[in-house]
Amino acid sequence: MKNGKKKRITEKSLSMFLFTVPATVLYCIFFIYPIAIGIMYSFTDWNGLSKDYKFIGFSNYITAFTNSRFQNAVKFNIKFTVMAVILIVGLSLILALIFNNSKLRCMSAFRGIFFFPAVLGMLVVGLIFNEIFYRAVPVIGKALNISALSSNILASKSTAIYGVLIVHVWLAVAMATVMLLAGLQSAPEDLYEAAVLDGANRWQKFKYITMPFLLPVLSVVVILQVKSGLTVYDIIVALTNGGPGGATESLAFLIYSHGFKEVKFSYAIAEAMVLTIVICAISFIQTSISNKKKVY
Amino acid sequence: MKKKWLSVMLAAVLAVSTLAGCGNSGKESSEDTGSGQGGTESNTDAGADADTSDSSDSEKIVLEFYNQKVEAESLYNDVIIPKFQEEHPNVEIEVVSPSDAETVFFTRVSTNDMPDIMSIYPAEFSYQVIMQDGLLADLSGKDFLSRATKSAIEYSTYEDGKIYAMPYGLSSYGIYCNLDMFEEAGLELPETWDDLIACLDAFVAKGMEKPLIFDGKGSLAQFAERLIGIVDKDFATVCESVGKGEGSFADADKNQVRIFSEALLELAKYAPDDILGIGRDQGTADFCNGVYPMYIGGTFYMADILAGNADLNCTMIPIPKPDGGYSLPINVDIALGYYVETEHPEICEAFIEFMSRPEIYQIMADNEGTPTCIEGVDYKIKALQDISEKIVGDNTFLTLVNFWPSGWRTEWTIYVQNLISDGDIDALITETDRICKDYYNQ
Repeated sequence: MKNGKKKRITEKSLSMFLFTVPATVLYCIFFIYPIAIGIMYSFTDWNGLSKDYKFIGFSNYITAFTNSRFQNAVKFNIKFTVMAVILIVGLSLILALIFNNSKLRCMSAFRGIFFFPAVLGMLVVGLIFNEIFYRAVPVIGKALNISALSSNILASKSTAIYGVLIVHVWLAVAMATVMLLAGLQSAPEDLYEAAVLDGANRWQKFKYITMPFLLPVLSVVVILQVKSGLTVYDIIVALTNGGPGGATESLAFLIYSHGFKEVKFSYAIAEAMVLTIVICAISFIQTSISNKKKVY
Repeated sequence: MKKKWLSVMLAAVLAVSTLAGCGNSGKESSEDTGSGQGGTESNTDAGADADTSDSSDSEKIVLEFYNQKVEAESLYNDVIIPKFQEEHPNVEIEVVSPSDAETVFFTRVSTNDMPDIMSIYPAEFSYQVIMQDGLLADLSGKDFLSRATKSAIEYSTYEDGKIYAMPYGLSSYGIYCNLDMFEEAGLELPETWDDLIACLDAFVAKGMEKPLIFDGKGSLAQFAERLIGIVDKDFATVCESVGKGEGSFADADKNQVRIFSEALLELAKYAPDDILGIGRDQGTADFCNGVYPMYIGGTFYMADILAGNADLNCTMIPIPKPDGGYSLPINVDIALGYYVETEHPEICEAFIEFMSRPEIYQIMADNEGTPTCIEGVDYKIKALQDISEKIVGDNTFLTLVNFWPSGWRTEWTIYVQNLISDGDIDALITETDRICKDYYNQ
């Protein structure tokens, strides 16, 4: 009897194991293997083209940490990500609450309109905003005599980051709103009714009912936005090309620039490895904090 | 029990089929990609007749032509390749022209996925790495090379003395002038630096606040590189000596960066204040619409200018040297080579030869716009006629990107943007010193 049971478990495990093989193999080929190769190349001086390369130890990592462009890119990414996450989460939460509570008839049409940016290609949006910042905004700024808007904000080292930020937020709010809206709708109605009977006000209802149910989604939204802030690239290519004077060079842009434009492939991979570790660490910390607070 | 065995078997089949799908990269997959981007493919069995002349068999030979001149893609597809096929009816050439072609090209090179025929920039460092690795076939001594001008062949020759790509077009950099606006203002085209500044002042005096535009974003690197080359065509050699610790650009005998900075800042005074936010698309659109009478750019902007306003009455003049005269920066802009391990070297060579015939390249010159170095081609694009005559003259130099270490220009441009933004010449001199030391001591 004991032997029979053991045999059955083995057959089951074998079949389960075999079912996982395709996914595991694909995962290994398209994910684990490239990462492993990438780690290896980051310790070499491979330029991305030549067949020859030699191992140079941690030299690429040391150069990355001491390079002023890399340091500036890290600063840019942190500043950009913090501003982007605050703005995106704040704006999308406000919009989601409005969409969730409003009894307006045309609300579904509004939801569609607000979701529209999410279906547009980033590069296309970047090119459109490029023209808006160059041609439209300065005209309006001059007409209204607002000096901050009177010139192209992408042309100045101090304001270019805000130009990129505006476009990034405009694009990202759409998807974040939809996700938060779904989170809001997961809070059961009867809890709100009970709260009303207990005499809870709007803020108390939001704090004690809405927020705990919203936290899992909010946590996902924050992780996604942190990730997209730290890896911002395509909007920068379309809007500023990293300029002026390197003011909008993000890590992802720098990695691309080093890898493909400056033919320093292994150095770019080392930078990418650093970025990966940073994103993993932030996501891990963020998830472990929000896991303690959420309600399922 | 049967069910369990069935599930085990199914799982096994699934696993094996996945592995089979991934691992089968041999003959079968190469046949599959014949119509895609897989490189040299024949739809015969594994290209059995690869080395026989294409005219002697009727089986289709498919070659991949990686074209980095994206604007010429339809010209190749609609006109040039059909003409080639009249002589080689069983050859099909697939033109691949992705956007950001250079990045895609280098990615393919790094994964050893080489096209059969490719357009390259033979004087540039990154392409010389490919030559050094022996990926391109040697064209030295081929008769058709004599159809290109001597200087073009010289610019295309690798340091080992061999030629790996046939040059067809040379590019240059200068100032596009809107002739109607010049005429309206009663001004002559400037020939010297003083003329140029006087001309810009005259436009300002006539009420045009900003008479000059250039790309202060993506292509500033190209402009800055040409301008410092105009200041001193041997600037790259000076960079090397500074990089190796022999002096600084702050020294009186190495004042190229200072002269360049003063010239650039003087020009930038006549350009819009938000020049660092203006890209090539916007500059071209504004020049085409007659907003600015002068536009600094390359001969390779011509296709966009023609597309923007085919009736624009304009011409390109050289950027004068700040200390007098002119010196025209040149780069080899269109050159074709082929992969050394292609299955059909004779057809690749035939195509390169075919393209070099004056009557064939005439079609390209008439439509694509890049000034040609093929002798016997009558260059008819009015706006570039003057400059194309100067390009084949003596007063030229090979632009500096071909001599700087890879990445030098990209990093330097960041500080050139800072110069335009802050006007701090000393900061640029300090950074140029540092960049030289960084790059030449790697």
